[in-house]
Amino acid sequence: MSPSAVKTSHDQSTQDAVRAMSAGAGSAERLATPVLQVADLAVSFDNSSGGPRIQAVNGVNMTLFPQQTLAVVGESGCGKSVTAMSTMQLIARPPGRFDRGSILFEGRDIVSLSEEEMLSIRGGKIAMIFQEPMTSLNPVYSIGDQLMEAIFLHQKVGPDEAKRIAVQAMKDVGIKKPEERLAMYPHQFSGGMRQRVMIAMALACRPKVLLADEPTTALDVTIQAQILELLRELQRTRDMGIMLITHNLGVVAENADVVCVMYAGRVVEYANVFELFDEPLHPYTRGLFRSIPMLRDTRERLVTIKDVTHDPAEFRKIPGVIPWWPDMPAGVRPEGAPGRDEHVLVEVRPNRWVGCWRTPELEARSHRRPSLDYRRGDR
Amino acid sequence: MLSYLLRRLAFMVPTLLGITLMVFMLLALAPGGIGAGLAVQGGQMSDTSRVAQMQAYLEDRYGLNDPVIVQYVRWLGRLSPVKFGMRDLRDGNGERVPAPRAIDEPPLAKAFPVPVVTVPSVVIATGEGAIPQFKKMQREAEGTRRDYVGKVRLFKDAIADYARAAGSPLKERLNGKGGADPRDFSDVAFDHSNAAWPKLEKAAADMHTSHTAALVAQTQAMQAFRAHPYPTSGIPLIPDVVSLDTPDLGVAFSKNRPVWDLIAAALPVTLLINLIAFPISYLIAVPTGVLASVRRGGGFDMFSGFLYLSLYSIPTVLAGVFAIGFLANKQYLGWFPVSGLHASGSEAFTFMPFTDASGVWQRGYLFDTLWHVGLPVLCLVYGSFAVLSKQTRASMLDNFSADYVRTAKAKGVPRKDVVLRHVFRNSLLPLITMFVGIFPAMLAGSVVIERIFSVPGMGSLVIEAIDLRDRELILADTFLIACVNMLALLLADLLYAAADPRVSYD
Amino acid sequence: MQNRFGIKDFVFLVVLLATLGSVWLSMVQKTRMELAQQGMSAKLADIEQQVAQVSRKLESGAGVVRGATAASASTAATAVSTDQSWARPGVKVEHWAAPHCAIDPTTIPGFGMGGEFTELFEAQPAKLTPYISSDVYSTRVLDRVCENLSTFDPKTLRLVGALADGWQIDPDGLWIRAHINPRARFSDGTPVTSEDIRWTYMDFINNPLIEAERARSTQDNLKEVKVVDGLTVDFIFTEAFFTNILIALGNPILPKHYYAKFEPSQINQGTGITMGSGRFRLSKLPSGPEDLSNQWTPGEDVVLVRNEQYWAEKPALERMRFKSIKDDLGRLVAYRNGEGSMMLPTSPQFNKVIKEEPEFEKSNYALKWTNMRCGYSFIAWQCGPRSGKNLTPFADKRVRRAMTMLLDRERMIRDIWDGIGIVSKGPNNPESPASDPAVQPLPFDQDQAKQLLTEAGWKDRDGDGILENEKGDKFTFEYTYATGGEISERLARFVKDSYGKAGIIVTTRPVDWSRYQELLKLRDFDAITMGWGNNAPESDPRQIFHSESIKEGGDNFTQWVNKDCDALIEKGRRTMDEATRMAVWRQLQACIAEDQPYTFVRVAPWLRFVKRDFGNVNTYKTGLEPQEFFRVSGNAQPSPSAN
Repeated sequence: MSPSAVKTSHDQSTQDAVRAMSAGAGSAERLATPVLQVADLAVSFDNSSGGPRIQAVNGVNMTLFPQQTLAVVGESGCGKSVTAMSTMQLIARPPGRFDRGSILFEGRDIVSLSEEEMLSIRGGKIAMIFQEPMTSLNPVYSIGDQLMEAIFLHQKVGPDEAKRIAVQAMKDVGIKKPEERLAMYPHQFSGGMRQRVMIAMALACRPKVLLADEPTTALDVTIQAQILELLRELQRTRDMGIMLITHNLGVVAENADVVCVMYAGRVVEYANVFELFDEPLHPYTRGLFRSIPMLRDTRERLVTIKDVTHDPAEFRKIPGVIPWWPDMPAGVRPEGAPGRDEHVLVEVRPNRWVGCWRTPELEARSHRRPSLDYRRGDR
Repeated sequence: MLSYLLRRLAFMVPTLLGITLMVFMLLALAPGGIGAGLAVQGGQMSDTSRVAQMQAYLEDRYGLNDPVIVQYVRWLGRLSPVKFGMRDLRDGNGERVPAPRAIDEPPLAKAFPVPVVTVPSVVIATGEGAIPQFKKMQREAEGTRRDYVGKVRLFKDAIADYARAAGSPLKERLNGKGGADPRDFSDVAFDHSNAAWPKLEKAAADMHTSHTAALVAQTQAMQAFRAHPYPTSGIPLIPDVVSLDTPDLGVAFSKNRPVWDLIAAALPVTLLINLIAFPISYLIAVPTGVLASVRRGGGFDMFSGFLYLSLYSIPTVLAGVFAIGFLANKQYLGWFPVSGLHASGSEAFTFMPFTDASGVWQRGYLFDTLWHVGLPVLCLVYGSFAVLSKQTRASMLDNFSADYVRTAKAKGVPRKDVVLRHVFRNSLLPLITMFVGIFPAMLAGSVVIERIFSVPGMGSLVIEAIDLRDRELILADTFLIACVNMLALLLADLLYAAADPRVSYD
Repeated sequence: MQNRFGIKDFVFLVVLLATLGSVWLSMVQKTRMELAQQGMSAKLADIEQQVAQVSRKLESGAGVVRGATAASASTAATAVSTDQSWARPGVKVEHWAAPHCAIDPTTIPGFGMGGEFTELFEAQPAKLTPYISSDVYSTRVLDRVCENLSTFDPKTLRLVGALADGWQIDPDGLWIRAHINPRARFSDGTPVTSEDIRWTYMDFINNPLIEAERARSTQDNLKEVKVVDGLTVDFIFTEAFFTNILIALGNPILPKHYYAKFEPSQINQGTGITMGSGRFRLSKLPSGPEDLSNQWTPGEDVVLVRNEQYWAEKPALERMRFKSIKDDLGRLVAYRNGEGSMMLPTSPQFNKVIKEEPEFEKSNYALKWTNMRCGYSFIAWQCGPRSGKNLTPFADKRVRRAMTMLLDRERMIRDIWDGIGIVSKGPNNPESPASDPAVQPLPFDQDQAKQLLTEAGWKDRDGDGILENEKGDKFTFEYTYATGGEISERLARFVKDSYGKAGIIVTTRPVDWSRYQELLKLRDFDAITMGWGNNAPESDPRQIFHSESIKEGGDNFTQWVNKDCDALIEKGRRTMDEATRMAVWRQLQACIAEDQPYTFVRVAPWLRFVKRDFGNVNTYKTGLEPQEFFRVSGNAQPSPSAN
């Protein structure tokens, strides 16, 4: 079922949009309430060398639905980790600062919550796993201790019950002989096992959202496949949304439902995975795909992203809009709307958003925030 | 783990040997030599020859005549629990009784032939009479030996006079101090017409007479010794060759008391002060460091850093002077006592404080000691905060940016627990390393503080020993410090293994 | 590894250690209390015994008179026996009274028995055992606990009897006979007999197993000590020297019955096996070999209690305590806090307190005086070849005299020692009869000095301000001194400046104590500072000034040879008559003053602070006599000192 494109004003509350959507859709097959909504988020950091503030995230929008895997793709420094960490208020303030925007979790704005209130959300409702399993576990405590720490924080249970939950969590992630393993220390595990432990720790309290920040980048390919399959499995059984942050397009292709491509702190493209891979609309995305070397390729020189983004023709492929790009080739950059942010995320086709330059025409229109309740199985 | 321990302990032995050998050689090479503290003041003696004899006797008693390496081996032999040779006896009071020492041959036996000595046989008493007979023989042996050693010395002086009278080339054979080493004169045909000859001849005759007496006495005493008037000491492994016995640290010749007694009296005092001081310094410095690292750059961080560095910069002597001049002086604050470790008459105190019949609160021994120890501990501790707290702070800051801290935060661990349970626990490791650097400091004692507050601890003991070149005391102290140093390093490694599960010894 | 070391464990460990520590400390304290109790029960037993003795005496009709009334006390004290039955015929007998106070304290207002007197020492004595201990602090303690046959009269410095109530000295110097006062008792009540004396000399000092080296070596001239009868003893000598008198009469007498209980090794290693017949006794004394742990050890205060069994006039003080505080400032603060009754201030402390606190002397005696125990400091000039090789400029007597005249010693005392001290003019103590009061020290006279130097061949030949000799060598010498304090540094600077002005280059060589001793032994110096102490009004100059003592082992470090002085020394040593001998010493003094092998610098007076809580504090020629002090009671005015 494809969600109808409902045009709403960009300052209408999401609740209205949701109500409108469900009213319009009329179908109760699936819960269409997004579990996590990032709306116009902007985060900046102090510039230690004295210059202007560094804008890490500049007006990012994305929506995550239950049992959906949203892949956030981009090169290093595009702001994807910052987005995820802001979700849990893990950004140190100072030097960081929320400039504007909101993050709604199950309808509640969590950007403005106090530290105390966040404590119950972190780990309990939203969990995060990180890139380096080798160092992400505390080397001086046993993994049993660390698992149970997570459990005790969010569940009022006694030590025996907690142990049982921990053992179960380890079983769920596929660690054999979990009772024995509880007393072991992280350095006694291999990388893949440690990541499993991290996952077990993250999922022990049954969160609604799992933020996975490059979880397999540091692992070898076979383990990578196992971990991702595990994640898919767990998502299915637990009714959990996963925000998968990665720069690996292969992982995206295999695992994502919806893809959000970011660059320089902004979203440049947002679509479901199949449509994105079939036909990338933004020059940057095209450049990404074209630069992947193909097996049967006989060219001597690979295509670079710059080859694509420096080609003015690439920017004229979508009628009515010019895709936003900070380093435009000569003569293509349009007039922006004065006094407004130069970038706007436009739904150029149904359920396909592209980041474009905010021309006066685009400024006049209202734009729906990206929201795709899509899963791969829907195809 | 056990094999690791054993290996470490086994490695200690060669290290200790090397350390003691080096210290021994340094002492021997130092100006003043070993036993400079034995230098005899002439004072009221009637004759320089008497002084020379006494000097010779003292050197003989402490074995200072032998080459340095022989002295070292002898010292080692006394120290080691494995003993070679004849076993000592132990008398009724537990004192060690060694065998009577052998008498050396008189020098220049070729030019001055030694008369043959026949030792009259003597009946060795058994039972009741054994001990008195042995004591008498011991006294005789000691007296005659003393006499003989003195006569040998006079003989050497006579050779020196002869050489001086004979002029060159013989005169050149004298050593730097104007004395004569008989071995340098072994090829000399002595000229009877030399002015100093009669004296030399007489000195030789005296020497031989006393040698005979000494040899007789020693032989008889040795016979009595062999009959074991007292029980033997130690555990034999191979009878008369190898045995086990308690180590003997020797007698300190500057104080004329067994080294062990001196150390046993001084060590508890030093330990008391240090064992109180070191937890205090840790308990204040470490939490301050943690707090400073958490609020880095904040008011507390700056203030504590400033305060500790200022304290660190105050020299101990100045601090001691201030402490005595203000805190102990009744004209100013007078909160603490001036010196010593106990009040006069503290033996009569009860241990715990109580209120006596007239309603006066009596301090009690425990509080009296703590009160006296207060100022020395304060002076010992005030400078140590800086290093410890800075180290803690740095280590904590390092660990704040660690990945597992991020994980912990993501799990929802409250900030306080993140700092204390995760970050602090990992920052402990450098602190453990520092912790065992303090053990050697404990043994050395704080010399300055002990001097200022008249605390009779290890520090003042060692400094006096070094000043007077008291070999036994210096060596024993070096040995103890080296031992404890290595044990402390071992402890550090074990603690490390306990603290950090990644470390294991197999 | 399974175990984890958390903060909780650490805290637990610390608490555990602290508890263990406290338990151990409490056990130590318990033991000490038990020992104190044992001591008390022993004392009770003692007292019972005394009471028994006293009642026996009363029954037998003997009168017991002990210093109760002033009158009876003084007669008992000064009574002199005239019994000569023990003496050898033909030789004069000198009779003496029992030991008594030079000034009777009972006549002074405020007199009362009891009280504790605390003396603050600078360092711990290492041992207290007589003949085995060697430092000056133990001597101060021993003087109270043990007695000699004779003692020095505090006012006149003459030798008077203590344990001995009479003696005879052979005019030929080969024997001395002494008679013990029949009332003499050791502190446990046992009478002092001639057997004790014989045993002290023959079986204690001369026992090779007992480490009494020093005493033994000074007594090689003593051939034998013979018991004549129960109270009479003969000392037989091989040669006649005046030192025989002090050897016989000036050594502490030890109780045989007590010391014979111990093995020589126990005596050697013991720190506080001290028993005698003196006015006080050690409060902690082992009763026998099984009680050795009941001994004073270094680290504690030395506590003496009044000897209740003292056979002559008992002292007023009940207790004397000796405390050691190493730090100068700490000592002063402790004294002022009331933790001490007497202390030795340093010269700067003394002056500062006197100048800045006029109130101080209202409650304290500030004493400064010269007595027989004062030593002297000097600069020794190398008269012979240095280390047996080269001669120094000081081989010439004129140079040495010039060096003395170039040094403004009055100024030195003013500047370096804050004005405390007097210029020394010879080896004898100015209070001693051996010192000629008419002789003056060489004056500070730069012109005369220059003249002397010119005569000796040293003058400024090339106008550079520095003296040279005919060969063109510059006059330069090395000044050696032992490091250890500001005074030695200041002295070195003063010396350097003084001689620099006269055209002599001085290089200073500070060395540490052990090296200093070695250099002395090797005679390896040009000029060196030193000091000698004193224990008696006269000492044997042979060891220091005779040319025989130039050899190794002798203390003639300067290698000074003067045949006239040698002759005088020999003559004086063998003169038994005191008056004649003193005349010889005065001649010797003149001889030394003529030759100046030393430049005598200063006689250091004794400085003392004593609280005015105590009375009868008098400065004598022997020093202070604390056994005469008493604690001023209640409302009585503190008595002024009788200087």
